[in-house]
Amino acid sequence: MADQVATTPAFLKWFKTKKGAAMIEQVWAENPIFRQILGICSALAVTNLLRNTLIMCVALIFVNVCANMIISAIREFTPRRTRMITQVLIIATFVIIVDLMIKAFAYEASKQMGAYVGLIITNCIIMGRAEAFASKNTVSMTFWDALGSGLGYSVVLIAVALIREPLGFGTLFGYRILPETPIFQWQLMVLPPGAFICLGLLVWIGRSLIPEKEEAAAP
Amino acid sequence: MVPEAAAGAAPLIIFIAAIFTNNILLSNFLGMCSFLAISKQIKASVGLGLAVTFVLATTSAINWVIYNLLLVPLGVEYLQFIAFIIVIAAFVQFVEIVIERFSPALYFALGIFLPLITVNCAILGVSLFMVIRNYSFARAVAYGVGSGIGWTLAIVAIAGIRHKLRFSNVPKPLEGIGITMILAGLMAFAFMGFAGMVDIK
Amino acid sequence: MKERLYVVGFMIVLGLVAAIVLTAANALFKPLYEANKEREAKGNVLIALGIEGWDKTRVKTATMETIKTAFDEHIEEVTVEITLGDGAGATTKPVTFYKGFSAKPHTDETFIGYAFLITGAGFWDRISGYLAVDPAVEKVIGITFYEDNETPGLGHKINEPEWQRLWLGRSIFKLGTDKPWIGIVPPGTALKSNEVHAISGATETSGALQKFANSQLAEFVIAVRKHTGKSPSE
Repeated sequence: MADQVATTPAFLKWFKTKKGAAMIEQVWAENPIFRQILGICSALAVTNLLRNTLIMCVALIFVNVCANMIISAIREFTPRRTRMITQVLIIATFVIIVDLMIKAFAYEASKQMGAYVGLIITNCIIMGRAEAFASKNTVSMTFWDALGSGLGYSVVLIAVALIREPLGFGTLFGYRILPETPIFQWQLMVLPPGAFICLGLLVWIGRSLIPEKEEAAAP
Repeated sequence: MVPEAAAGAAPLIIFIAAIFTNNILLSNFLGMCSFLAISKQIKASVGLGLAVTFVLATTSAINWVIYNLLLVPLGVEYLQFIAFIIVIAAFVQFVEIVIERFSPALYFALGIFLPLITVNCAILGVSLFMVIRNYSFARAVAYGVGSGIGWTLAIVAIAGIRHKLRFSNVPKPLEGIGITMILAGLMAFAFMGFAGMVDIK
Repeated sequence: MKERLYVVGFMIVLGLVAAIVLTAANALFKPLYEANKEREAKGNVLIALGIEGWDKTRVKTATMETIKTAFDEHIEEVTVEITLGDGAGATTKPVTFYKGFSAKPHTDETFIGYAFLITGAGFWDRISGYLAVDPAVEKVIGITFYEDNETPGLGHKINEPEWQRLWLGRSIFKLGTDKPWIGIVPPGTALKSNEVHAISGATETSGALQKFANSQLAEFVIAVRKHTGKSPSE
């Protein structure tokens, strides 16, 4: 733990508390996306519009935090054999709640996001944190870990959206920021290939910035 | 003058579309988790793909039945997420047991990935899409099988390219996940060329 | 044995708690969702019939009450049971359509036209909208879409007013026949009186739209004739 805190950039040194370290570890050094890019699956679909991306990020952080806190709270009572199905059930419950809320409060967005909100259930990040952290740590530690991993995930999604929406539609959050010329109506960015390529490029940039030390430490 | 049922395309069209034009991985972003981990070995990719196709075909069928004959009549459609994921988890467990019994070699190769099939977004995604698009039973199964084959096609193709890339000079930060993403993007781009191949009339 | 019991008990309790929480959440949020859907449907009927300048932005910003009042003032909802097929294979089906009036009272003078729902599977996902025809049930007087996930720049262009304008005044019957059919034909071809040009590049969306829109158009024609008691030639 001390090693990883030491390698974080200087301006983040004030996050030296155990909780802060746990959270920041998730966001930067151990950023699940930069390291593994596993959970990015489903959410890439909504990154062609910033508004939908933000809703997805909030939904994901909400589910990640709530579900993992509950999983952590009942970890002493959960039978070993049913651990996975219990985690899935709890996560699915919160996803349903979040889906109902989005349908009620952000109707337009919910139509565009379609089934992708439901797919938060199979999001590898949430399941990963549940298995690796929540089932072994206290509720308060889990809160920071979940918040951190959710934010780390959101950072990447928002980064992709910040490229895709302006280039694909010429707007940002629905507001026109670029002239309506063909350059800024780049279909490729609106469609799936654009998402993949943007993500690949962002990974390239991200990994170029992370110091070599952590590259060596990674499995 | 009898108007015919206003439904979507025939099952065969949906089947073909699911493989090429609406590929569950390249058009819908689903199923990347397990794919990213395994797509370096072609043989394992094919094996995983077949397992996924089998699971997809059966779970679409089972979930269709559960949704239309159980959840809807009871008015509890919102429980679909839980019902579907439980069906998938149970069925994958069953598949794991069967593979272990009949092909220990395959079981050895797939190892950790079998549990990953459960959280494979593609499997849940197919069931969810089938509900949203209101498919009939035949179309749902066609979509399930087609998606499985499409997914397999995508991961085998990318595995093949990654295999070829192993002697190329990929920049260090781009190695692994980065270049795979770009590959997926280019392949998704290529698959878009299939649009219009299938005539939904 | 005790362990097994505990496991089963645990799962049952977990399941029950989840079920209770979800039922509560559903009861809490579903009404808002339904209200959203109703708002959208009613707003779009107003748009399709071209009532008092209602358009997309206005529907978006208006409150539920405003839309409801406008709807109650101008629209009448009619549901008719129609029979499809003959003899033994006949089935009945309720068809709903809307009559639009420019003002109260709802008379022949203030009658603007009919509107009905057109919805079906598009290329990517469901497409939904309303088609409006004139009181004589001969021509299109309006069309609008409120739900689609088609390719932006291609199929999604069905939402553009420029394209929707192509529909105005088109006949809903094949020339000289009694068959309701609006054709969506490739751009550049000569247009018959019941045809519109497709969006260039959006073959799949156009084909799908043509299929379900005409199916629902046919049902509407049967329903409205039954409702008004008029036979085809009148």
